[in-house]
Amino acid sequence: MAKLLNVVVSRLSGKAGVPVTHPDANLLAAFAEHTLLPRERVAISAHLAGCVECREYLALASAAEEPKMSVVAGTARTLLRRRFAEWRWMVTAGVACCILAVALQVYIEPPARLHGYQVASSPPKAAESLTGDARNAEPLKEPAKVIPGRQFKFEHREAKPAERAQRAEKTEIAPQLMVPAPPVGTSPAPAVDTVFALRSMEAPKTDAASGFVEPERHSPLPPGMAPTTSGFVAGAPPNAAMEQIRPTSKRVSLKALARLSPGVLWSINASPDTSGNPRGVVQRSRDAGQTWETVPLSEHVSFRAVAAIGPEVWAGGAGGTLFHSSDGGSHWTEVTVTGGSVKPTGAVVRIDLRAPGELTVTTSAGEDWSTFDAGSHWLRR
Amino acid sequence: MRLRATIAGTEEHETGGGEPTYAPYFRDLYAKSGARQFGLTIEDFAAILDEVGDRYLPVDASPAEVGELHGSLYLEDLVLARACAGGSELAWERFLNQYRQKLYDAACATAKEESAARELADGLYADLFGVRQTGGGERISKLSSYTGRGSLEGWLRTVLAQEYVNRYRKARRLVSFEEKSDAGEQFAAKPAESHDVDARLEQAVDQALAEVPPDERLLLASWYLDCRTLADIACLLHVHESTVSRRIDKITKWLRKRILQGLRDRGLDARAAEEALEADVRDVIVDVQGRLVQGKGT
Repeated sequence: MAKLLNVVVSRLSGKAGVPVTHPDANLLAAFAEHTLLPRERVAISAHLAGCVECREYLALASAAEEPKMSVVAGTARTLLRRRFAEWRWMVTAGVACCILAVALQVYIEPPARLHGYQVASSPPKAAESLTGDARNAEPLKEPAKVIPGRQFKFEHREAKPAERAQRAEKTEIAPQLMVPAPPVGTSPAPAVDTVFALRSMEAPKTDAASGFVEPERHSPLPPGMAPTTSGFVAGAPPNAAMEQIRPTSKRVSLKALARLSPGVLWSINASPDTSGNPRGVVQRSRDAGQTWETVPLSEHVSFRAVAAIGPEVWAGGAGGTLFHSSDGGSHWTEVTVTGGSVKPTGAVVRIDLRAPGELTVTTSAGEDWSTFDAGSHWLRR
Repeated sequence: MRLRATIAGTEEHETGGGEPTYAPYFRDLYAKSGARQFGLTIEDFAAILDEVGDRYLPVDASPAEVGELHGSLYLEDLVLARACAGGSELAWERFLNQYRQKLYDAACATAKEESAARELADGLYADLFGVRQTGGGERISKLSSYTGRGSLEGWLRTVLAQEYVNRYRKARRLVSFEEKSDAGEQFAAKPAESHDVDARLEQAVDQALAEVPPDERLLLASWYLDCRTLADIACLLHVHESTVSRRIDKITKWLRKRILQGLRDRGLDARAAEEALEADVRDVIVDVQGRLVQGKGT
């Protein structure tokens, strides 16, 4: 605190003009309680500044006052600070508990696998969603167990736009990611509102000749792969966008994905075949979902899952059938999933494409088959 | 009968000799005050407010000023106090229930000693009840001097503080020479002799102090003269402690600048003015303490 000059203190102490009449107890009490009128307050302040006696009364009276929370805001804050100091150890313990809980959760349920650029699969619910209630299921959740041999009833109803938007809200999917129904004439199949769009982004490192994405194998997250558990394909998002998609996040923000640069989208669409039976077909959009085209693949297979990283596309479906394209869907080869004499049971309902040539397919019987050489060898896990 | 209370109303007027008509706002005040339960009529209530108004308002106060004053009063406390002074049993019962314990607690906090506190509180009770009587035999209650400007509780604390200081002073006068000797008063340092302060410096200081707003002067006096804590001052002025500290710093620096300016205005050059202030600082402690002792001891 600054030092006041001696002579100022001397003059201030009342040498100049000792007050003759003192304010009564009413005014002093009112001054202490701030209920004086403004002009009165000025007068009393002036008197108090020069009258040590009245200041003494005020000091004694305020010292006898019970502590109140509402005396002044500052006092209230001081009391709160004291309370906080008293319970500080509780806060510390609480924070420690929170850290422990998070650590335990991470230990028990590790965040998106280490190789975890799990991508690109139309989740089983995409197929399941073709039936009644399952159509409203949230696409980002872990795939539900699929009962072997369960028959899915396809529904051929075209959803109204309002209904679609409502469902989009329910499923927390950013509206722009909901794939609109293909315009008439652009798709042979009738629109189904629960199409799961798989987005393929522009790869940062692309071979000029083949257009093949060159992943950084030593990086925990190679470019172009978003760590999803649900199967949105991220071809090669820009680094800035990747910042928003952390591998620790079990669920990737769809809005974050939506901010990525638009690219090729892949989806499984359910449409009736000539006999009226439901059949899943692979569809592709080159204009961010505005228009869709059906990719000509096997007419006898009902597809349930598709995954892509850049030009690497995998699609699977009924009977454990799996197709692979390394040129963005122009040419396809059928890949046989087998481990010696053992073959997968049920339909391929999920494809986890971690890197080009490195993927795991899940069947409706709950089997996981992995390959690390683009399907030459398979290992059942 | 001059009913200032009715001036602030909209439809008031005095009917010569008849019942006065009170403004609606005044009837509201009467209803809110709860005066009726103590047997006070609206005329009694108007008389009380009239008395309060006479005490705090100028003769030519406007209706707005009257209304402002009435709005700032603690009417329930005022009515209770006046009803007690008037001898209402119900009012006394309520007063004792509400303030008895608080008064003893305040006395304990003031006197810091149980028996002294009890004596202090009992003495005040006697005054509040009214042990003295008028020529007509009516008791003179101290509660009749309560005007409702602050809360009754705050007023009681202030009265208690005044009573305590008065008793302390009386007791000091009764201290024997032996007790004074035991306290070592004969060894007390002699008050510092007054220094020959340059008259120009005093004038400059007085001028600067006169320019300081009253609130700031009170702040300086509380801090530098009374040595109150920041918390005490903050509580008194209803501001935060940090605000008190900041304001003291600010006004102190401003005072120094203003005094230097005043000295230069009185013919001293800048260096001489600085020297005058530096010479002053050397004696600060002795002089301040001397003045404080002088101010408090009497």
